[in-house]
Formats: sequence, C-alpha cells, structure tokens
Amino acid sequence: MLHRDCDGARRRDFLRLGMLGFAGRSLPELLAAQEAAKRGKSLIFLWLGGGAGQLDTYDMKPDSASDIRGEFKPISTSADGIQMCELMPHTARVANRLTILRSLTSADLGSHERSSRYLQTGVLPVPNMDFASFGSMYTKMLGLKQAMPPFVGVQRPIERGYGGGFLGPQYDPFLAGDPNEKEYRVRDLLPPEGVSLDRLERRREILDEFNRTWRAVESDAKVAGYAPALEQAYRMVFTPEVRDAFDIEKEPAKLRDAYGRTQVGQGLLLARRLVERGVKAVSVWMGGWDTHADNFKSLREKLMPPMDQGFGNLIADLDDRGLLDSTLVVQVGEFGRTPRVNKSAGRDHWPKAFSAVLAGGGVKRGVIVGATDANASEVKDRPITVEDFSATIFTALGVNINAVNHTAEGRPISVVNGGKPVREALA
Amino acid sequence: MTSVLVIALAFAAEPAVPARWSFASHISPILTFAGCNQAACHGSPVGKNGFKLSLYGQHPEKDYAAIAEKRLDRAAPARSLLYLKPTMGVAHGGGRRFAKESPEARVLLAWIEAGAPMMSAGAAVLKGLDVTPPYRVLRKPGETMKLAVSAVYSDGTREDVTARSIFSSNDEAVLKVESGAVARAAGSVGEAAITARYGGLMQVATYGASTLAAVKASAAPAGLVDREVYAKLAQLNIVPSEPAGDEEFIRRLYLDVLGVLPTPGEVRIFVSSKEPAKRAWLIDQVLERPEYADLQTLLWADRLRSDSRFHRVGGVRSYYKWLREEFAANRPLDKFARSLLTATGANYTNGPANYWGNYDKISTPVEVAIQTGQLFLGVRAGCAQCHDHPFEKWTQDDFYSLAAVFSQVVEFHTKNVQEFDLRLSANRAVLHPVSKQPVEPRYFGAGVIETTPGEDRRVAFAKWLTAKENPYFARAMANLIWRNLMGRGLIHPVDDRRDSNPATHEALLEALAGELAGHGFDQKHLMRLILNSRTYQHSSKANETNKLDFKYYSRAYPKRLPAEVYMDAVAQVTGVPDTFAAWPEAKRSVQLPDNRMNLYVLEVFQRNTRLQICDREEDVTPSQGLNLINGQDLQKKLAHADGRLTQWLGSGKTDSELIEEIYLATLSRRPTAQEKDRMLTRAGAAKSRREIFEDMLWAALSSREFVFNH
Repeated sequence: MLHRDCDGARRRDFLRLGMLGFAGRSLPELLAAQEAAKRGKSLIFLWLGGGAGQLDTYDMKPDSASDIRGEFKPISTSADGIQMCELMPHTARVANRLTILRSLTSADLGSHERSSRYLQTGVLPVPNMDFASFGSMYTKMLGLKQAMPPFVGVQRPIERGYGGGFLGPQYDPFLAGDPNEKEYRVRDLLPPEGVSLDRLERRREILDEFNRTWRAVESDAKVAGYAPALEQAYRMVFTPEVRDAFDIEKEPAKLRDAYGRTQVGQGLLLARRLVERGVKAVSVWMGGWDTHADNFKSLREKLMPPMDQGFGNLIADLDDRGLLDSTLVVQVGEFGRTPRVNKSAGRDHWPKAFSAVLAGGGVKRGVIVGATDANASEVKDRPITVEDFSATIFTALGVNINAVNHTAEGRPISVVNGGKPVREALA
Repeated sequence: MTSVLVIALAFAAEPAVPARWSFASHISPILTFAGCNQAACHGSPVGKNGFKLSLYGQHPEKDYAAIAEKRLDRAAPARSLLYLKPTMGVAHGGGRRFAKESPEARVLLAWIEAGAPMMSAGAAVLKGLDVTPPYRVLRKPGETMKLAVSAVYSDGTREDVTARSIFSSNDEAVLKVESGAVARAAGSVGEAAITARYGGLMQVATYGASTLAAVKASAAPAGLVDREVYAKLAQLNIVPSEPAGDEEFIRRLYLDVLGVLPTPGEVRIFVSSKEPAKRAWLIDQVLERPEYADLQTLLWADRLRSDSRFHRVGGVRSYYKWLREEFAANRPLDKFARSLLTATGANYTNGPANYWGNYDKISTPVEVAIQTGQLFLGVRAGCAQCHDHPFEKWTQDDFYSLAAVFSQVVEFHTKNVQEFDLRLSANRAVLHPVSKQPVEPRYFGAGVIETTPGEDRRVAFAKWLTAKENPYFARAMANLIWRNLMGRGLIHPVDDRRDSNPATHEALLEALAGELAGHGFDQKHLMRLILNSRTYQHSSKANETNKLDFKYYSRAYPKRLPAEVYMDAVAQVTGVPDTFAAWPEAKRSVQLPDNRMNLYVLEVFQRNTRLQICDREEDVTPSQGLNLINGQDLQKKLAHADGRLTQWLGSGKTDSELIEEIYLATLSRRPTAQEKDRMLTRAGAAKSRREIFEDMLWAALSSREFVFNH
C-alpha cells in the first residue's frame, strides 16, 4: 500500500497516495487540507532573544550625547526619511517594505523569562498558567490538519512562552533544529542508519498487529491521541513534500550564501521554504542579544551582520517570489536596552521604549510608527503596548482578536488581551 | 415555609424596590446578574475604563466605595453614571445591560434617590444561598430539573432569587444549565457541580446524570476505598471492569511503584503461583525495593521544581540526595514537609534549603507562598496574588498573610557565588500591594500567627499545617498519593481545591486523609491500602457502561509512561543500559538529579520542565511518533552487539520461544495464540532472522500497549 520510492516523487505521487487512502485520508480530505493551507497568511517570527537595543538598530539618535548614541552611525535606506544603523545594509535595502514600530512599550517584569513570555504571547504572564505564543494561537485559530506541521520552530527556543501553553502541546511548534548544521536533517524525519524505507513499512505492519490486539481503552483521551500522532508522523516520513520542505540542500547555493551561512540566515531561509510549502507559522530564535558588556563589539562582530543579512534577504526573497503579501514577518525581542551606555560598554534591559519590525502580509510598506524622545528612553508619540502589538499581528493575519479559547478549567482567554490594532501600521 | 416561597415567587423574576436598603442585598445582585463585575468587564483586576468592581461582587464594601466615589450624582440621580451607563444613556463600552424602563434600572434609580446608602437602618443583610433540589440523579435522556435558589437574609427571611441567579456547570457534558434555571442531562454519565451566584455569594450543588440501565447490585467489596467507589458506581449504574489478570496487575504495580518493568522471570513466577494472597504479598515486596525511592524522588523533584537553572548543579545534587534518603527511609510526610518549610542554611549542603531558589533573582516570600499553597495545601492561592480568588472565599489579604509567613527568610550568597544560604532576618515584612503596609502572618484563612520577636514564624506555621486535624495537609497528601497510583486526583487537578471544584468522592478523600494522618503520615501505609483495593486492581479493559468513565474509577485509566520510565524501560528490555557522563552514579535516567541534561528522548517524551508546579504532559505527539519510527538511539539499542536480542538469538531459542520472550519482556504477558501464529509466519518468511526479530522488538516497544501503563 505504501509508496516506497519517495525520493524525487512529485505532487502527482502525493495525490495518488491520497487516492489509495494513504494514512487513512481520502483524496477529498487531502485536497481540503491543501485548500485550507492556501487560505490565510503565514507568519515568520524572528526572535532576538536577550533584547536588541533600539539605539543601535531602528531608532538611532545621532544628535544625542556620545554615551547615549553609542558607536554607530545611521545610514539612509530605500525608504524616504527612514534611517537605520550602519550595520544593517541589507535591511536598509528593503526598508521600503518594512513597517518600523519605534514606540513599543512593555512592563518592567524584572527578568528575561517573564518579559519573553510577555512578548511572545502578548499576554502579561501570571504565575499559574502559560499563555499561547503567537504562532500557536494563530495555527489554533486556523484549525488545520495537514501532513505538513502547521507550526515549526527553527533553532532552539530560548525562553518559555514559545509554545501552545494553555492550548495544549499539540500547538507547540514542531522543532526542526539548526538548518545551518552540516548535513542538516530534521530530527527523526529520515529512517535511522541501517534501516531502509522497506523495513520501516514492514515495521509498521507489525506495529499494526501489536496495536490491533489492545483495544481495551481506545476511548480514553490519552490513548486516543496515540493513533493520530503516529499517523501524522508516518505521513511526514512518507510524504515526499514534507521531507522536501525541510531539505534546505535543495535551495541554490547562491541563495544560501545570500542569506548567510549562519544559524539565523539559514533559519530564515528554511522559514521561507516552509511557508512556501504550507507551513503556516515559523518561529526562528536567535539568542545572544543580552549585551550587558561589550555591546558594540558584540553587535559589530557577532550579532548584527548575520541577522541583517538573513533578515534583509528574507524580505527581498519573499517579495521576489510574490510571497511577501501573504507572509507577515515579525522581528522583536523581549525588550530594548538602556539609552545610557554602562561602565562595561554595555547596555542593560529597557522595557520602557523599544522597536519592533513588521513586514509583508497586512501591513504597510516603508512606514515608521511612533517616536521616542531625544534619548530613545521614553515614548514621545503613539505608545504601542504589548497588547496593541499582539492585536496588530493578529489583525494583519486576519484573525478575530476577540475570539475566545478556554483553558482546561474553563477560563476564557481571548486571542488578544485587550489591545487595539495599530491602524497606522495596517495596510 | 411553603407559603413564603410561593409569595416570594410571585415577585422573584425581577428586582423590587425594598423598604430598607442594603447595597449587598439589593444593588450587588443587579450588577452580578447584568455581568458588570465579571472578569472580562469591571471585575477584571484592573477594572475597565477606570471603573473597578470586585470579581462577581465578592466585596460589596469595596464596590460601594468605587461607586460612591464618582458614579453617583446625588443631586440629579438620573444623571448618575451608575444609572446612565448600563442603560446606554451615555456611551458604554459594555453596551446596554438593561433598559431604562427595566426593573433593574428602576431599583438603581430608587436607590440613588434614597441617598444611595450602603445600609439603611434595620435592613436585612444577604447571608447565604440555598440551592435545591437536594442531590439526585437524572435517569432519562435529556431529562430536565428545575433549580431553585433562595437568598437567606440576616433577619431569617428567605427570598426566591432563582430568576436573578447565574448558574454554571463544571461538566457541561453531564449537565447543562439552560435559561430559566433548568438543568438538562446532556448525555454523559457522571456528576456535575452546579455553581449558583447571586449578589456576591456563590453556592455549589452536585447532581448526577445516568441513562444507563439499572444493574443488579452485586455485593460491594469491603474496605474503605471500594466501599466509596462502588457506592458511587451503583448510583450512576456504571458496571466496573473485571479484575485485572495477574499479568496486567504485575506490570501496572511495577510501573506505578517502581518505575520499572517486571522481568520475564518475575512475570512467570508470579503468574504461575497458586498462593491466594500472592497480590498482597507482591505489593509488600515491591514497596520495599530500592527503585521505590528512585521513582518517588523523581516525582517529588518534579513537584519541588528541582532545577539546575534554579538551584544550580550543586543545589540539585543536594536536593536529590536528601529526597532519595527521605524516601529510602520512608520518612513520615509531615516531617518531610516541615523540613522543607522551615529549612535554613546553604543549599549546596542542606537539601531542603532548595525549597527556595535563585534564577534571574532569588525567590521571594510571595513565590514561596504560592509554592506552599500548591504543594502542601492543595490550593492555587497564587490567583489571589493579583486578584481575589474568583471561585473561593480567599482574598488578596489571605494570600499576603501566607506570604508573610516566609518574609523573615533572607537568601545570602556564600563564597560560592551560585550557592545561597538561608538565614532569618526577624523583622523583615511583606508589604500589602495596595495598602503598602506590613502584612500580619496568618495560618492560611485563619488566625494570626503569634510569635515572640525573633522567632521563626515558619515553625509555628509548619506545625499548624502538618497537625493531624489540619483541614488541608493530610487531604492534599492523600489526594496526591491517590493521583500517582490512579492517574487522577479525587480533587483534580491536585492543587486546585475549591468549593466549585469538589472531590468526586468526598467521603473517600476524607477517609484516606484520616488513614494517612492516623498512621503517622506513613505514605507506604496509604499506598498499600490503595494498591490492595479492588478499585486499583480493575482491568483497564472497558465495558459498554464505563468506556466513557474518566473519573469514577470503574476501570484502570491508562497513563503514558513518564519520559524517564520509558527511557529506562527501553534500556531494560534491550539489555543496553544508558550511561550519563556528567552523572556517572546514575544507572538509569530516573536517577538523574539534573533535569536539564541534553537528552532528546527525555525531552520529546515530555519530562517535567519544572518551570511551574505542573503535572507532566501525558499525550503522544507527532515528534514522539517520529522518534519511535526513526529514532537513532532506539535502533542502536536494537542492533547492539551485546544487547538482549543478540543473547536471545545466540541462545538456541526457537522462533516461538523468542516471540514469547519479546511479549513477556515488553508487555509482561504471553502472546495470544493468534498473535504467536502471525509472528511465527512473519519470522518464517523473513530473509534475515536478526532483522525480523529486531523489527518485532521495535514494534513491541513502539506499541500502544508498551507506551502506556494500563
């Protein structure tokens, strides 16, 4: 029954597998799933873990004192009147396709953990429960069932708040690892060494026999989850499209070089490849931005070049392929950094005023929203709360921000916790 | 009595203008019924648009103050915001709650015209609610039952307020409350707790629903567990599953108590024994094995959140060592709790000092209070940190009085920067977030803790908490022990005790708590009692009446193997033990003190992240499926040159014997005749004997029957 020679198989095979009732799903079901995948936008969420400094990225203050403005200079960009840090030439080139939010303002929550939970979920953290990340909530609201995992995480999550939270672990991202690794493979997507696909198939037949015997408690919720989870796994293993989607080797070497052979660069390239193939949300986690010491050296040598190259080329690549209008790209971290440079040439945590970037589906192109004061220490114009930020993301994605989900105990949780979408940012 | 109710009924559907005013009796019910004080509106912790009410009107005095402050226009009552907003006389974010001509609006206006008193002289105060009818079970599909709520006042009068009460059911699959206070059997068999709210009060009443045909009552087994469980099953007409066979029993017992599988030899001996009391004998044996302490240590390390990010490696090492010793010595649980609650000293050397922690910042008394509530009182007092508890009488004040118990503790750093040292600073206080005044320490929800200056309040608190007659501790511990064995707490989740979440078997929980406290808080005593019950020993095989039972214990509920137990079981079956470079003393993953070791199998099978006090996730995910199908570690163990399979293949066993070994080693049972035939056919047809038996062993280790403890 199973299609064996999966390598190089194309869409035709996929459909044929469907007609054969592969993995228990009929052709109409598969087509419906593909339709669902086409509906709705995709989300690519780039997380700058540790918190990037607003003064060193999108909100430079060249006229401020030297211990505020720091070591870098602003450069002009493709968008009239938008300047950004000189370490971001790639991003500057696509600035006419970005919406830069300069007036994000969060609460002082005292830790990376709590601030990260806030900025990844849009809901102020509470002690007794976890809220859902943007990607989890978005894919929950789409309600998809497909061979392709709806939500994928690239690299390793850095702080809590990245997953399904109260929605349940089925809304956690499928963790795809680091595509910059040599001979990158998704964990466990390919058979283990020494085991052929033929043998996988034989094993599955024996497994079915084992599972046939034990029918005692199939109605039990936990046990009932076993069969669909195994089926989804088998679908992923035997569906050429899934393996193909994660096969970053298939991207032209030139394009891989353009994104940068770095974790974040290849992560963003994989993200593009995945949304192009039906994944609806991808989180890419980049750490290291917590620059309490040697801020400028770290930014110059380690942080800004790979991020800039990956991000700038992602936007350009999405646009070239006509995917930018259907893909919302978000770049943010848990907070900004202190305006005043500290004694260790570092900048500390600053949740009061910081920047985030949106691009693509549902948002304007080449726009700045909000402003901070002369030192980028306070919001001067158009404060954007974390809840407003969340409302903007979900509105751009086309989700009803007032829709309600319930926790296991029946507590109602709406998609957005009371924020209003930033109209100036929305297309 | 009857006549009073009839008269009341005539006026009950709408609020009326009373002769003497009481805010709590007359105004609060209007606000509650109109939804003004719910969590999404003005009852939110920060209020809404500058107007904050207590959640569900639980604090009429605060609500009165908020209203009196700027929602009233005494000179021109009809211009009061309290009247204009809900009637949409001015714009209102919450929309129109009732019309200007409505009785609600008339009462509000009359109250303001009367000077908006908190209380007129001689007014009766709302004291309590009575929900009727008493407990009963609805037996027909879709059967309905009219609920009635009486308000009871301080002057002894009663009023039927059914039409102005709000109802909610904790299980809408069992009972749904429809408009007109009608409870309807919604199809599922079981019981539901119905919460009725009126004004600032709530009252809970429980009812059953079962469309199952009455069964001839068989004699209920003796023993306190079975007596209570079987009484409830009889009420609901649920037929319990058959007793588990010996094979099912031994596997479950080993996994629940030891976290390991019985060996094929142990299964064979136990099954073939003709000794009538062999199960009780095996239970005694198993409780004395060293793996008992390994598993208990793991489960408690989860709950105590032993975490190398929180306690550092030195801390998790000392915590682990202490926990392991406590459970190896079967130290009484009251003593165990007191050691944690009153710990002082350096956390690298004194295990229980890790009841506190240091991640990002050191633990605060508030965090330790939340933890204590969840662990040892079985309550989620943490909700009350930010707002009064929505479903309970606990207030923010109660919560901060609990935090004040821990306010004298100071974490010093030792010479080792990552280690901390707990010391007492006698005069340190916790400040109330609203009043900014120091809060008096109290026994939770009870009196002030009187101590002499400099005395450690925690000692008095711990003594109170772990006393035999304390209403929280023994129940919380008994419920936890029950949950660990039965898969579901009598109160579920185990840390969410509240009136609106009653125990499924209240008398049983009380009795178990009594047994535990009455036997010196000996955990093994209570485990032995539960393990010997027919209830524990039910088969997991369901029948028509109980396949949808998830909380009345009519069958054994399957539990997915915890990550560590799964990993160790694979090592045990394949005969290829794991080694852990950073912790050479750990022979199995259950013995790892550090929960952050980079071990993918543990991660994907959802070891407890210990970020919060949470139950483990027990679902099966696609990533687990991929790991079963393609996991390199599993394949390496299957193919290992020195593994069990190599031994078996080299031992001259026939195919039939090998198949039997595989079933016994993984599923603790012999294959059925049909299973054996099928496997024999496969083995006979295979080109490589090694490969086909690898594949069979793989399938056994990936099967539902293996992955679940059932």
